[in-house]
Amino acid sequence: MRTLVVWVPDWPALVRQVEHGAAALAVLDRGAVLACTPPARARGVRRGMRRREAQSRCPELVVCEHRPEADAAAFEQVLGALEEMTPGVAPLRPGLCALPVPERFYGGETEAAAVIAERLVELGVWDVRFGIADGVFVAELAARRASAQDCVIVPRGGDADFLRDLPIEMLDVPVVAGEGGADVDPVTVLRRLGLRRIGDFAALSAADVVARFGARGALLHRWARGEQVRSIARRRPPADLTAEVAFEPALERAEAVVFSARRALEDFVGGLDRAGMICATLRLEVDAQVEGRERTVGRVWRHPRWFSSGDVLDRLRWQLAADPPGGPVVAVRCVPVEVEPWAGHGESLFGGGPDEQVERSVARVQALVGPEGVRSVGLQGGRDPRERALSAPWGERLAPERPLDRPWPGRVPPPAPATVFAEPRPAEVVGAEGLPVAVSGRGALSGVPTRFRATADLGWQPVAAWAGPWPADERWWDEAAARRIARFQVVGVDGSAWLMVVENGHWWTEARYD
Amino acid sequence: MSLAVSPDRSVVDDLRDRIDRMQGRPSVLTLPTHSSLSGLLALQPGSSYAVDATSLALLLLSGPSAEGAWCAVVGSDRIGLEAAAEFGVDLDRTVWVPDAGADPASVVGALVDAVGVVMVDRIGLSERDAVRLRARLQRQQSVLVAVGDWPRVEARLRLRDVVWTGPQAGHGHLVARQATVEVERGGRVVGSRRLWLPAPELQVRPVGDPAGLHERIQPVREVG
Repeated sequence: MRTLVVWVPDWPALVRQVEHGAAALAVLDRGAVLACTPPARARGVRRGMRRREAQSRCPELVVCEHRPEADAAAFEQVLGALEEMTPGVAPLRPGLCALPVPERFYGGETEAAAVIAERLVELGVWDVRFGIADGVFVAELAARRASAQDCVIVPRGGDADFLRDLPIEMLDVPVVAGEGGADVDPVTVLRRLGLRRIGDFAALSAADVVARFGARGALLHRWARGEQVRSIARRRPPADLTAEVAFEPALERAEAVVFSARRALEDFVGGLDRAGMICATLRLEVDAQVEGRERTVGRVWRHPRWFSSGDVLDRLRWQLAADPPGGPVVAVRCVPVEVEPWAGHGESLFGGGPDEQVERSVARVQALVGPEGVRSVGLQGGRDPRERALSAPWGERLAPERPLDRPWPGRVPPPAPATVFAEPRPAEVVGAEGLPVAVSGRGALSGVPTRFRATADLGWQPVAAWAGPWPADERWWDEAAARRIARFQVVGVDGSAWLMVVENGHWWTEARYD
Repeated sequence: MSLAVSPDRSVVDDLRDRIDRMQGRPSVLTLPTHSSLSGLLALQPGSSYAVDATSLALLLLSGPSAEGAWCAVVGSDRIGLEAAAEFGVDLDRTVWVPDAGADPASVVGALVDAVGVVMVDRIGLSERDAVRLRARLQRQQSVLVAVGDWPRVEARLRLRDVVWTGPQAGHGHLVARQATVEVERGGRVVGSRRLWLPAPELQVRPVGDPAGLHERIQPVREVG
């Protein structure tokens, strides 16, 4: 089967460029350049370069972190456009996909590539390259040799010939990496052995290659000989599950909107149900007429388990209350963002989730104090007690920012304080001469704490025991959030124990061990 | 739960009490209470308790929570969640309302209907609301734990003679605390106990109780 590979060079950089609008832009993955835009490349930025080196070559360079999900989401648009033209598109990774050549329909391979190129340029992707060959691997190498909007065609049965004169390094494309699983990279070894061209490698006997390089080498060898190794795994286009309800005439009152949307939203949940799916994240979009123009307000809602039709209606009600549409509502759309099959939720389907009674009462409390006022709680990683607490509005999933199961050197040792003030309270600690105790930049104390006042509404009392200072140089890499502080535990003669922090000579009480 | 051939007597009692409760009959059931308080205090469904320290409130919450009850914390934006977890409160089954807003009586009332134990902190109710809430507590057989003062409580718990061990003039850190818990009913102290709150291994247990030791010493097993 003839295969067409569509390659958009530097896809991650292209996606970011649309967001930032900067000409020279580079995407970094773990500190090294992963992709950059053509203006940046013209100034000498290369793949694999460190951040500082790239910035020294091109001072106006905008750098951003690699976000694979965003790249994949943006590539979805390209995949959708291709699927409209031909079925059976197989995404390989963001920026790269393969499809069977629809040559009969478009009257030839070159013509098919040209039509696809035209469609993608319409989408704003002008640098797109094509390769056509018998196998995916050779088609990808062919696409890498093509110029923008051009197609390199390897004739039928010519895969091995095409590969013969290519340098051996070309075998090490990311599609190959990670398969098999040998700790030594065969390509490096082959180069040291004096095999410079793929053809030299292909000429070796298969048995020798397996003996020397194992499964991964064997795979590369078959690849080098132009054999068909992988067939395209076609993707099934996602079914359109979006529910939309339009109001004619437009509705003014929120209650009327919720009431009229009820049927459509019930159908939405019912449709998912029939497809054997549940929706855990969705986006509600409300279109309204504001001063003769249409304005859309969208908001993403998450659910700890999955949305029932009642839950969706609740979210719609909250959304209309939280961001009023500002005019008569014309339409409401419900777009599923995260859809999962039922499997894996069996336990909750049979009653493992929170009590219905609890859910009902919490909904009543939410009506009193607002949807954000009722929270579910958990723990996350961190050094001080406030960082380690985690909470989210009831009904949303807890999203820990830092893993709890890693060691956190320098964290305040257990037991944890039972009271953690939402905002630190100003405190005062003085030494024997009545002078405030200070901590120098090197962590030395100016005096021994003898008397303290934990909060402004409490009296002074002598210090019975104290521990510290524990200096912490928090987030020194981030100028805005960086803090140089020192923590103390102070016990008063009345038995009360406090967690205090000194920063720039000022004392604060963070928590109480009560 | 295992399928025992002869069910445990306490399981039968428990089920019977639950049936009574569903049918609305008065019940003498007590809620599970932390083992360190056994013999000193047992939580009565439908009652309220006042404590003078957050850790005591967490200790009262931990008993029912460990047995699967839902808990709610109302009015306190400064609860130490990690301490709650250390005391044995299951955070997955905890509802937190940091600010009870303009109508705290309705918020506490709605939560009393749903969860086993409600902890309130810095919430003042009018006498009328307090009476109504009490009736609701008794109907729902839930428990209210108030930090600070609360009208008409079943019992008040206080901490006395708190001694922290660990820090010495700059070295070490807070490790363990010993304190006497006093239970006061009707204006009279009816009992007290010296507790590790918590012990160095973060357990809460009576001082001098060998239970903690037993857990750490494993019986020698025969090799073979």
